[in-house]
Amino acid sequence: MKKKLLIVMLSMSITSFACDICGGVASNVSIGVLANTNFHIVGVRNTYRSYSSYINDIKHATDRLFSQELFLRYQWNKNWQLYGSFQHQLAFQQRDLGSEFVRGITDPSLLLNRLLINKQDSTGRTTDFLMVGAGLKFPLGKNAPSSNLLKNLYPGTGSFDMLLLANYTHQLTKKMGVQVETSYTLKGKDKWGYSYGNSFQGTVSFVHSQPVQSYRLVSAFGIVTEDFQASKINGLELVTASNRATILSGKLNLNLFTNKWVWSVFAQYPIAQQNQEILIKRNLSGGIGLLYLIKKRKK
Amino acid sequence: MKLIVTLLIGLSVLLACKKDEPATTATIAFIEPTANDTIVAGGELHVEGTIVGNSEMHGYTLKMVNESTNEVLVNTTSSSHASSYAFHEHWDNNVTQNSIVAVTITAHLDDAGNQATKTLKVVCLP
Repeated sequence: MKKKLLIVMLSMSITSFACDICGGVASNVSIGVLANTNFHIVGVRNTYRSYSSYINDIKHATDRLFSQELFLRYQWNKNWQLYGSFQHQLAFQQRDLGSEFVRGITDPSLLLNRLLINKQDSTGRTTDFLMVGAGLKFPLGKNAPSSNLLKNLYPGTGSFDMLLLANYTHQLTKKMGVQVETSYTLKGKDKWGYSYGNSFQGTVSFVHSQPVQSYRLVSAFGIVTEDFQASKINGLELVTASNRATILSGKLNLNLFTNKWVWSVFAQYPIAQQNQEILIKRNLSGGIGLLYLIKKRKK
Repeated sequence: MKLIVTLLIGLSVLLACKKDEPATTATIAFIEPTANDTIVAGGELHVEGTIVGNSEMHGYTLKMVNESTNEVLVNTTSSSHASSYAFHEHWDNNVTQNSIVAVTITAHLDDAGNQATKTLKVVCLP
């Protein structure tokens, strides 16, 4: 049971929201939900994000993005796992004088994760868990040149991006743990020489686990900080429309474990944000997810 | 108890019926373009600015007219009610002769037809 507790905690869903408007689609990667090593996973997730644009503090436009994600995690053995994510995105822009709509398949990504630390106490309970990963995002999604005013609404960036991450979990008490996750994404150029700036994401979450009848509810709350460097054209930083941004957000995450199924709800709200494009602000984001856990065969 | 409920209902009806007074003036400011800007062939006429009224307005219209040919290039209206607006639209220069293009913003102050208008002109090259 004790062992199960940490497995559940490591299985909590930490979903990060890429800042499409200030740094490109799928800017950062997160494996919170995949941090354990006991299951193969098939999951679906629906996410909503929204951004507002302002001119002299007067709202000019609102962008709404809906993504539908299928993700798979294959647990090769106790130390290695492969994670793939495939998404479809619907993006709407609503202005006073019109509206725009862009939809399509986003850039898929593959991530290879390696377990480095899996320390257990004398009772067999995992107390410390460290996983690192590296991967690639492939430019297969629909994208547009920087001359297109709707570029940031397109589901693809047109570039190969390298994804790096580390995920550390420490059990504080029987019911409480803390999870720290950092990721860094190196952005490549698209075929027009445009590249979004590299991005960093750091998350600290406190995780609480409790039984609910025959199920288990894992709730998590935490802080997410994100930094997006300026976009470039042929290596030169853009001065305007650079997508440079730093955002601090609070997040809440609820996961209900019912045998092989995990139901999740998540929300993220910006507490403070500084965009070089002071016209653009991120709004509340959120989503729902459903995972199916497949017990891996022992090797 | 009945009295409190009645008062609450009455108050909510009053609040629901409250309408903002229509605006009587509005300030229209262009951020872009600047008067007499030159837009090269294939270039983009970027129109951006704000409208700030002294109360609730009843929408606005953005119009671009090629004064050399009298062709209406853009004519779009928002009917949303607000005390301020930010406009931000684009038009690709595709003229076939030297043209003066007038960009006009009209704020609709009320439903009676009162308006505030501002126009600036740019030069578009073929």
